[in-house]
Amino acid sequence: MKLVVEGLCKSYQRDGTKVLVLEGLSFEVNQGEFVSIVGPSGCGKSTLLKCIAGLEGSDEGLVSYQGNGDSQRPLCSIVFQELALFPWRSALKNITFGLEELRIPKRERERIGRKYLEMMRLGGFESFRPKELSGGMKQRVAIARAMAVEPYLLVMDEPMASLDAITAQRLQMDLMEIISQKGQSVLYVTHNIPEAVFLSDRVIVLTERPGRIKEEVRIEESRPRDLAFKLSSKFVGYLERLWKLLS
Amino acid sequence: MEATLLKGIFGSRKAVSALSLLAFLSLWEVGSKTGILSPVFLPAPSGVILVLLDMISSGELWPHLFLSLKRIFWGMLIGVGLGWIVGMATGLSPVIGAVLNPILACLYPIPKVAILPLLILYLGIGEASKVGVISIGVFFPVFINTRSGVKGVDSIWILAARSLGASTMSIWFKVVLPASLSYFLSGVRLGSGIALLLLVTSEMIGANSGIGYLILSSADLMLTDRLLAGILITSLLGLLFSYTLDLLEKRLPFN
Ligand SMILES: Nc1ncnc2c1ncn2[C@@H]1O[C@H](COP(=O)(O)OP(=O)(O)O)[C@@H](O)[C@H]1O
Ligand SMILES: [Mg+2]
Repeated sequence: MKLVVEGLCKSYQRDGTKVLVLEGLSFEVNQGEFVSIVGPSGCGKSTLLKCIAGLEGSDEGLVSYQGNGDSQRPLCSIVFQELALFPWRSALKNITFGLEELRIPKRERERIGRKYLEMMRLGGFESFRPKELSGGMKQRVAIARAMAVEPYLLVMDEPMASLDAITAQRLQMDLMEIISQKGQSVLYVTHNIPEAVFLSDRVIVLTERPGRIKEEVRIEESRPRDLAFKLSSKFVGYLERLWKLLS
Repeated sequence: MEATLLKGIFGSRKAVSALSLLAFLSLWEVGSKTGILSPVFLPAPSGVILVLLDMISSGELWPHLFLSLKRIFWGMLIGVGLGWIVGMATGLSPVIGAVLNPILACLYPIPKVAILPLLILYLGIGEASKVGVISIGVFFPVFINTRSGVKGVDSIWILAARSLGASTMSIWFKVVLPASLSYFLSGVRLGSGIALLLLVTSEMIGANSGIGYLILSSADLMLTDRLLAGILITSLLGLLFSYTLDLLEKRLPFN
């Protein structure tokens, strides 16, 4: 299914005055596409994702999913910037939370949970609680939890922002492989330009608040991609273009 | 060598605590035995233990202890249950909060002992008034702690649960409940202290059974050793409660 966002506007009330955060955003994420959103801090990226996930209402505009699909399957699930893992649940039980809500029997839940744990290279950490895991591992649990419900659209809010460069690089590589292999549609927010270029089919650049679309850049390179792409002059060309747009 | 020996003896905090307790009791024992402390006012610890053992073997203690435990059990059960339910409800629903919070805020500062005569008037001198006053005393700390625990639940967890398709019921029981459990338990801990206080007090007002009665009747007869044995039992009960709660808290995934 395809995500269609049309004319989305959103404002917050603060001290009695209206602060406009998003101003008339329109874009689409096609089935199997990886779309990144980049923009300066505070321009409304997290707000946009919450509107799309239905966790915040919008003032104007429409968020819809088009195409025919299985109505049992969740439309969208989100990996929060703050991770929001449940500290009282083990890694495995965090991942199976959404499956419990889908009324999937316990054995099947655990099988699926383990599958995603393995996929995220966390095999053997089933019973670990979030505070016993490193930052990178927690991030992987959060991604596995959102993917385990098999949503049409996976939404991620700066999942690498709190990771060191080496951990982030590894996670990027794994993510590239898993997402491309599954043909998962992803809407990805980051303020890391190289990350956006490496992972995405399309990069949407937002303006300062109120967020509007400044430009869309298509990354013409088939996925999965490897390190060679990151070192190519083509990659540097995209970086240059995006940095110019953002400065 | 010397350092490790010292560390072996004093490095363990438990050993130091045990030694300190032992020293205190020995001083007391010696004080009583040499007559520095008048045995009428402060009998030796060994004497208190002997009286306690005597009450145990003669079977005199059991009915008192049994009745006290029964009263505190029902009082705690009702108080903790209601406190938890009302705490969850007022924390989760702003409407219920707006209705109940002002009433409860007015009732909270009343010393619960002051309600006891009223309860005796309503419920009679029997078990109901004692269980009632304990319930009311336990209710407030459990209610207040649970409510602040519920209000303090990080909203990002609720968003996460909702984005994973959780129903409102699921959010209450699978997110808000576990997230506020440690607050609830510290409410229970505060409540258990109040329960003990109200148990002994209510057994001192017009009762002919229970640990409180044992203490008061011993005082009337100047049987200080029996009196202290009664106090020792309340102290042991308090320790038992806090030990049980420690065990419960350790099993919580938060710690
Ligand atoms: N719940 C809220 N109430 C009021 N203002 C908010 C709220 N959430 C976000 N904002 C404001 O909206 C703007 C955009 O926030 P956010 O979407 O988090 O930005 P970004 O994720 O791009 O850094 C910020 O100025 C922020 O202060
Ligand atoms: Mg953000």
